[in-house]
Amino acid sequence: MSKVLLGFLVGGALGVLDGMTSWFTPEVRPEILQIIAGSTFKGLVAGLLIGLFARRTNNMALTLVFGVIVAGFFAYLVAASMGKFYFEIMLPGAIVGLLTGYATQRYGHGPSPRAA
Amino acid sequence: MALATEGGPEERGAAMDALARAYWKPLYTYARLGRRLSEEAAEDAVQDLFASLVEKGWLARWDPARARLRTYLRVLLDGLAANTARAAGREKRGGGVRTLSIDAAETEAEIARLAPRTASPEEIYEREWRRWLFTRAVARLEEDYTRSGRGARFALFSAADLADEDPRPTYAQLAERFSLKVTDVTNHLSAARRDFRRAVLALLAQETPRGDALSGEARALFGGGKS
Amino acid sequence: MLSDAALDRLQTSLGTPDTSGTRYRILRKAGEGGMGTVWEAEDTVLSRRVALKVLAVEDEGGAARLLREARIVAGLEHPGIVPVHDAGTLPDGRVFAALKFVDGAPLSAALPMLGGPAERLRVFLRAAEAVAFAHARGVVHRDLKPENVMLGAFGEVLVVDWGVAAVRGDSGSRAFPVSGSGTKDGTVVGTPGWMAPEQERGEISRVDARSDVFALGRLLSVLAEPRPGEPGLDRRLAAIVAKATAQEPETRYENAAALAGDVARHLEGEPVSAYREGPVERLARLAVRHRVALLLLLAYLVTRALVLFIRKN
Repeated sequence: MSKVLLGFLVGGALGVLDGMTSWFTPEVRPEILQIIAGSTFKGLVAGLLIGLFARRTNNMALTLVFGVIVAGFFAYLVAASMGKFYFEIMLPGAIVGLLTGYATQRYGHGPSPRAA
Repeated sequence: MALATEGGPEERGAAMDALARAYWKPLYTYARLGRRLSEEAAEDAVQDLFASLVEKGWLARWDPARARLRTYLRVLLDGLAANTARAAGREKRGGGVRTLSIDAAETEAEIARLAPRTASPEEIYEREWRRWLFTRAVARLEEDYTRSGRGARFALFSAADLADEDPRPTYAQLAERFSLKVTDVTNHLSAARRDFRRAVLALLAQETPRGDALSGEARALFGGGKS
Repeated sequence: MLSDAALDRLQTSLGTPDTSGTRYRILRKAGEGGMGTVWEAEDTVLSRRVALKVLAVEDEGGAARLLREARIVAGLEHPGIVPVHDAGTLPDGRVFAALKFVDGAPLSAALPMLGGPAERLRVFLRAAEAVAFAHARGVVHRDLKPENVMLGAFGEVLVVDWGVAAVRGDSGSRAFPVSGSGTKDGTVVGTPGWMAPEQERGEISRVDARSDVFALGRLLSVLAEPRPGEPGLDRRLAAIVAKATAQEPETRYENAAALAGDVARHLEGEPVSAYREGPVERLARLAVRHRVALLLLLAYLVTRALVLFIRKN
């Protein structure tokens, strides 16, 4: 699978998962569908960006840093829109970026022949 | 050369002569220096050995795959030396069959000139075998060069490789001494060393009773191969 | 009678190849091979070091074998096989082959210097890949052992000494300059302890790529053997060794490429053909293989749970 497609899918899947965890917060449970949709969209976009970056650099360390920054930035936007929960949203978000970055670089295939 | 146990009596005799010529001196020196036998006992043992090679069929039993010929001969001599020592205790040997002309006196003089040995008996034997082989090869080379009017080349070879001059003469010094160009010294010497090498190989070929064993003997001498 | 000093001088000049008038200048003795001596020499035309393999004596059989080896190696251009530059006859009549000089040590000597299990397996893979290349060209090495795998100073792994290699007549598209094994049935070619049973019995006609697989299997077991402080031999790796060193050639890997493939898969944490794993083993292998991703996922879940827990309190 190409790094871009893999980043897109992993980002999306982790977005769904991340959104679903809001079920454990009873105050926001009524809006869970919107939260999942938003979180998934955020994950898809971040994953796409990370995948594109991974394809360009072919460098694990840089991709991990980029993943943390991109996912952290999107999480910041979400937290900023709510005006609270900065830490609670950004920390897991950053880990999701790390995971996406790792997955794209480790499991995705570059445009050149297999480099695993 | 044919196996010394094959062919007609004349061929066999010639083959045995070559074998004796090649090995008596190192075997004798080994018996004296390595096994510390008396002159008489050493000569007896060597005489016995060459007589038994044919009479008792010992040579036919030599297996080149198991031992080099010279090692085989040395081991046989070890056995004979032990028997001779025992026999000497019982009776004075009445002079067994003397088939070889061994110049023990001359060899004794040479042995006296050799530096005292710290090497093992096997090492002494190996070295003396090589010394005798090279000595005869050098003699053959000298004869060949003198006959074909290349005595000067032999003199150069002798000064460069045989004489014990200390320090060793450089090629430039040799060139001056022999009124040659340095490049000529280089060429003459490499030709002489090449011819010496051929002489050694030719002697080995004559004295190794089986052709297929020759390369093993030679390899041990020229480096390479397993021993 | 020659003096001791003269004796030594003559012995040295007998042992040293005569390279006068050639492009090579002998520097020092580098080692002893089965057929002759390897010298470190300088190619004075190209100003580079070469390994000059020179026969001890100028017998025809040895010369033919050395030239045969040179031609076989010349036909095997691969980074894991020492290239041959030149071959011919020296002024003293001895046949030589000039090979690339490898600054390094044979695996037999370098083994203690190698790092952990993964590094040792990678060294094995490099050697096996070189042999696999030869197999693809129809060449069987027949004398693989640690002494014949050189480790270069820059991490190169080179398979050397193709002196007893055999060439299949029908070696595919590219006709080989030599063919045949150079030996008849009943001849034992190889090194005891490393050669396959069929080789040891002298069944030359049965010796093929699978005989090399056996020797490579022995090599693998030496390289994979756990050192003090290392975990025990992995079951998959043990199964690979067992399959490679099976008594019957039919049960072994078909060639070095198949063996190398299994070792590479093992290194990557993928299933290997030599070992049928149970579901639990499969899960454990997958967990090990994807441990980083699993750890990151776990870190995410723990963080999420912590965040929820902190907010609730």
